[in-house]
Amino acid sequence: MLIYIARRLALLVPVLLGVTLVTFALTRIIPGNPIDQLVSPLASPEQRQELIKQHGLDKPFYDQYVVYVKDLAHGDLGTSFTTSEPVLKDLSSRFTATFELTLYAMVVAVLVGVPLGIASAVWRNSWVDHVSRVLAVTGIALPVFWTSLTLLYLLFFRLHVLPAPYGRIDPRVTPPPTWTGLLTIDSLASGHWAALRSSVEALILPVAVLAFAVMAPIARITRSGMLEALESDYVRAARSLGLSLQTVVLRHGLRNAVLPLITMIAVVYGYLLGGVVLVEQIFAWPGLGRYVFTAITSSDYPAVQGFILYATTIYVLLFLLVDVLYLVIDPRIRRGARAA
Amino acid sequence: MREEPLTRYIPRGRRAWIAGAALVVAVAVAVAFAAASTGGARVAKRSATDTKTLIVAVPSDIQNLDPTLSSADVVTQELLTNVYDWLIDYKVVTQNGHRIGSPNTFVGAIAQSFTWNKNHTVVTFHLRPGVKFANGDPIDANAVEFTYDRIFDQKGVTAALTSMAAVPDKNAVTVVNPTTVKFDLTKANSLLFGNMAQFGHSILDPNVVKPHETTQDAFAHNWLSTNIDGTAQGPFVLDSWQRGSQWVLTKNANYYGTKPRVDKVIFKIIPDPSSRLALLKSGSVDIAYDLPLKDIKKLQSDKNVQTVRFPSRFVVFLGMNSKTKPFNNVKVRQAISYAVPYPTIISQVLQGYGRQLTSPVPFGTPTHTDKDFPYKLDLTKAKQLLSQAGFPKGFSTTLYVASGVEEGTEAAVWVQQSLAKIGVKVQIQQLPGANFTSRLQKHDLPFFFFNNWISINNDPFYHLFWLFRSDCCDYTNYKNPTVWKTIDTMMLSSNVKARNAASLRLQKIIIRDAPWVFLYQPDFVLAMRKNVHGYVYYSADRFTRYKFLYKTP
Repeated sequence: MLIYIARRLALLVPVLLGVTLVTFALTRIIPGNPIDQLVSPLASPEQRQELIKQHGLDKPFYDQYVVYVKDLAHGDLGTSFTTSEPVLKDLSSRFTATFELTLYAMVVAVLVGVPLGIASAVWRNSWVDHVSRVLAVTGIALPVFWTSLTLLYLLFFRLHVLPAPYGRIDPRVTPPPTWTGLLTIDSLASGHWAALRSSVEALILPVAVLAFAVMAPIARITRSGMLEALESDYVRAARSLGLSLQTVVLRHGLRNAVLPLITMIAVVYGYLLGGVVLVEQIFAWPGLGRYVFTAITSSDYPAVQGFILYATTIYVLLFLLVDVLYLVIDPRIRRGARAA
Repeated sequence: MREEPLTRYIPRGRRAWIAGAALVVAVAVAVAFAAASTGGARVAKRSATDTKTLIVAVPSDIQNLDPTLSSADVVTQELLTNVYDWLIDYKVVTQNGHRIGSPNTFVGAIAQSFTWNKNHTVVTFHLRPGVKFANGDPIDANAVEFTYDRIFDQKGVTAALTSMAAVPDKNAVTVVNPTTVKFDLTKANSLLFGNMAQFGHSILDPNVVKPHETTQDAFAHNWLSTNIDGTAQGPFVLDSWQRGSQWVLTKNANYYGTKPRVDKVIFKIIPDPSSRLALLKSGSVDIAYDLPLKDIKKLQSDKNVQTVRFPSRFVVFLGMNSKTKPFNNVKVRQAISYAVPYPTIISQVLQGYGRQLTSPVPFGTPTHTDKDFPYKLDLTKAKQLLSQAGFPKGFSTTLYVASGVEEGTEAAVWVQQSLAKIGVKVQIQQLPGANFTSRLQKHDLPFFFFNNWISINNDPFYHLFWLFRSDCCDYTNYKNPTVWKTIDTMMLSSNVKARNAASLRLQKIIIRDAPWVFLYQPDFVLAMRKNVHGYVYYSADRFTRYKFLYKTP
């Protein structure tokens, strides 16, 4: 299996190279000059020229690309035009914000979606199934910005139940020392109770909104996988042998339904990382989505390129993880892989 | 079809197991909400009681902090204005019961006083004795010399503006003694102070900045882009900056001037305008920037919120490019100027927060006149002019608007509807910000909405120079030789009478030639809680000086 993982990781290199070439070309094809965004319109032509040179934009496309790839090999993603900080540093700090939000959203979605899916398969066409279907349809149909704004209006503005959409933490609360970058974990580890409370409060609404949106496909895929498994011969055999409900459902049913579920979770998580922009905008969440949005609108080449590289790497690793999990969970695939 | 429920074979008691699991999840969610509810109510009220901290909701992050080469966005430039100080500043005066920073009267700042020679060609600045940087270093003539050497060597906007006012290079700035610095002008003029009273002239600490100079970066631009530590000397220092999230200003103990009345100002980045509005209305923030004018209007009925409102000198116009057909024909430009519903745009797009722009020189700038301004909605006249221009049936054109500029899109729709009545078919095209700016800078947009110009120096010739004479910003390629010649001769003239007369003449010519559809001057409007007091409006740059603001419980 280690060889398999190593081979997959080695494949990452050509994939990333291809991605850099495409994004490098794309960012430069999109009209707009980054220098215009950097300086006042009153700046002299010499000063513009100076900045163009400083950012290496005076060289031909091919040379720029070679320099970029060389820097990449040294782990240098370049410096953002707008923030004047190394892109890697920018991305890492924003990634933890997005990761914390999406991680909790995913956990909640799985914790609610999977039991809901199981229940609606077990009690097919019962009220549980109908409720689950209605929830799934509304989850898919309602745009996240609408649910965000409505819940915010209701729970923050009208009822004062939840704190203001300040972002990750109340600005008057001292944040915990950075260790993992996840505020909840860091404040728990360092005993900053005020920070823990504030960051948990800040997470509730955006996590609920995102979880609601992605819960639907998870519940539906669990249901269909479970239905298929429950109608199979081995489940009928298990039932006829008088095994308990939880053994039949969880060991024989869920175990067989879990493979498509894992793929779906990976796909949905990828969607979450990309689709979180609007939620970040509304909740003032200093995450990746907002960063790349600003970068695109201001032609910040290194930032856009860096983000796409980052996203590609995450996607590739995510699906590698899925494949490895398949091997671990399903003995049939393991055997097949060994035979091949 | 086989429809046998699985549960039929299962003893009843066991069904409870799954139902129980579902119940646990539901209860957990409910408990989480309930737990938050007790804390949340308190959170929402906290801001109002703490009178030493101001919280400001802003739409975007600060960017490039090098005072001489900063990014051009409001929050960055406002930050620089609050953490740095310079030799002279605008005088605060009382006008109609409001305290305002007068754009045309100057007082000493880091220089306690200044004296001119008889010919008005040498100005001597006497530095304030004992004045210090935030880190305790003295602000002496050496620091001033270092600052101006850097300005001129870096050849930035600040250098250009200083040499425009006849201080040609760094040799014109000389140290007389440790507390005295002298500027030699090549020609007496009235522009210098108006160009100097802004953050580009921030005095920097050589002890702090010099160690960051490198061979690739001779001016420590990279360091100054993200740092102000030590070298700041204004009312506040930048205490912390969490990228993409917030930045915090705290009082500078070494500041010589008006001491800030709050200890701390927290700038919280809230990109969504409706979130900023909700935060302000709920009292979670004290001030909210950039609210839609429709919301501002509704805020008038909120007894906890106030809005400060002042006329601004922003010029908002539709540029018509003299290099492109059919806008190269003056009759076409005039026809369009007669076909725009000005009052409707001001009442619908600006919700009444503004006034019609009636001259290239805005209301509020000396010599502004609307005596000869003829344009109002007059479709008969517009049609007549269009026929004379050879377009009796009208023509088709595209109006460019930078995307995300709500006001531009709305104004464009009114223009489109109105122009359709004289046969001019307008297609509205939104361009992404970077693309719009690039094409604007290349002067190749034929017909466009522009709302981003205010002249820092409140001088008619300074203003006309940039918009009709300079290489950078004559976005409509107007290039009228008479206008050019007058600007060139009058720019540095110290003959006030001749200058004023010339300005009136130029306004008349430009209004007649109509390189722009003169749309409006929007008001400056800022929304804040009722318990925030002391706001002082600086019309030169409309940046808030936080040292004046204070809060009552």
